[in-house]
Amino acid sequence: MIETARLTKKYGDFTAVDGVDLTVEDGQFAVLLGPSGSGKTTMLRMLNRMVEPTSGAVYFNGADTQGMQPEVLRRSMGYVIQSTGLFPNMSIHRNVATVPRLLGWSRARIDARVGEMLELVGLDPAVYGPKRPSQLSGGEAQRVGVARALAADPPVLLMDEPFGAVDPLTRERLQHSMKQIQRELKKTVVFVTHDIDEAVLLADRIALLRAGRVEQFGAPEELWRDPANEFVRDFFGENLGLRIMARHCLSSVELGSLPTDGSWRDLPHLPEESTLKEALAELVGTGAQSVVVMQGDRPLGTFDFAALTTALRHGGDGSTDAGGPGGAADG
Amino acid sequence: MPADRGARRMASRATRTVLHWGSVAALLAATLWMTFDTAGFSALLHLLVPDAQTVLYATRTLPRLMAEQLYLTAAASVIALAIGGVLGGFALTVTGKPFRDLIVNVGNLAQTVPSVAIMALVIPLTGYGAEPVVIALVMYGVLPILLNVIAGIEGVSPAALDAAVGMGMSPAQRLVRVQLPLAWPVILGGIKNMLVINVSAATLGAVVAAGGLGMPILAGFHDYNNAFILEGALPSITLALFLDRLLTPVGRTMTQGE
Repeated sequence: MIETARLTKKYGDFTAVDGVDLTVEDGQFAVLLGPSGSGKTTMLRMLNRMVEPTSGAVYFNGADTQGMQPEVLRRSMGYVIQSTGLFPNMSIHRNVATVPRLLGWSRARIDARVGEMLELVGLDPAVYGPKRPSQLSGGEAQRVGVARALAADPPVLLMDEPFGAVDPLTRERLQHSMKQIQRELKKTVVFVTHDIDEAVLLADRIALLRAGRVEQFGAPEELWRDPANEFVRDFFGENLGLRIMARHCLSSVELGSLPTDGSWRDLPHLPEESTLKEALAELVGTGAQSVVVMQGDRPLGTFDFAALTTALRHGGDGSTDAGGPGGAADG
Repeated sequence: MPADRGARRMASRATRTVLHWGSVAALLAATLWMTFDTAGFSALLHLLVPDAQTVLYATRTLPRLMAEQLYLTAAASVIALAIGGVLGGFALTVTGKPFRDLIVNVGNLAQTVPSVAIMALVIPLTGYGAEPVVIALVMYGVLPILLNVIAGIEGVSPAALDAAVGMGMSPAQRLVRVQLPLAWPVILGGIKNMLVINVSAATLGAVVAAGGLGMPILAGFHDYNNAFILEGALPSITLALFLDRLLTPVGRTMTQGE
């Protein structure tokens, strides 16, 4: 658990972070969202003491981080940045092995772990291990960055706009892999972005920042249904509802029962991994009363406007389930 | 065809590597031949300067002159490397930062003073011999080392450094694992510049009785004997070229982590 108490950072007369109280629970995916200059990166960098607060404190599992050695603290928090920061003088294998080597792991253990991590982020260790960072595409380099951050199995992952510099298609793929990895490994993630879509897709909790203050901290559904003020409402704009729908997939909502007469065969079909947004588009596009949700070849039930309304009213405990392609079947 | 292009690129890289090491070996062989094959080298000098009575400087043998030349170069280079490295390193520390420009300017200034003038100035203190020329060469050699240490370390990608800090490397670990390896090609460039300058400039040693390949050059100048001048100049040139080639990286990816 990470907790900040009246956390403040001033640069001369400028207050970058202004008395922030924030609690990120274990296993939570927290997104620091806000316009540029809102203090989100400063906030993140105070968590691992790359920036020292002017006042206030950061507690990591209940202990004041001021009482810890910065290097030791940082090794327990994976760190991913937009420009990847891969070491160009080292192979991919050695890059990923960085923190385990700092921790003095045995060679065999490091080799096994590096292979495991590269596989986790979808890169073949035999192919990518010996490569140099300069031989990778932007997306591959970011995957290596994530593998490197996870290598020593830190309980926490700090990510500073990690997918900001890659093309939209790659970014979307990385976001889905990230969500899946986080769900699999149950890491506590603090993720900085200014991209609303990215925040809504990934976050269990969003902290919306403005001028160094947290305007609202809550699940995306909460920020949508119950915005704390005008700023929150305006920041997310009118599309937030659709964005929320993109967070959830059909496998996570209550479905209507199939008509017993077999007439469901005439209705449009959608795989259960489809998002609610896709289902809505299907309903509107085809003009059908409902769509049939399929698990492979097996029909699970029907989905209609009423089911959508129910899902959006009751959904919002903060857990998302819009996983990657083919990866959303776990409930 | 990408595969074809890749193969061609690898082939051209292999060709470059062969050519590079071939030239290094040839320059080394030429230097050694001139130094040790007295009969062969004098035949060459006779060929180049047909009207010369004697072609080899009689006072000292070439192996001895070469040894003196190498000694002067090595002594000056080691000292310059140490001073340049320490000053450059200091300029990069938090305490040294305010002195960075001052240090660089002093290094620049040292290079503007003619070496002969430096030697003339220090001879009253040191007397004749190796010391004045070593001091002059050190004053020349510190700047390239100093500048390249600073440029190399400052040129390390901020992202790589940020990641190194964020992953929990101590300042010493950052220096050894990230900053020095990344700065190494630039620092090596400085070392190369210094060595090439020093190995040529060490011929000045003859003026202050420190020996070296400058002695036959000076003698040839006195006696109007071009063969003597070539006897000193040719091995000095091939030696400088050899060091230059040897320390020039082949292709781009010279430094590898391990």
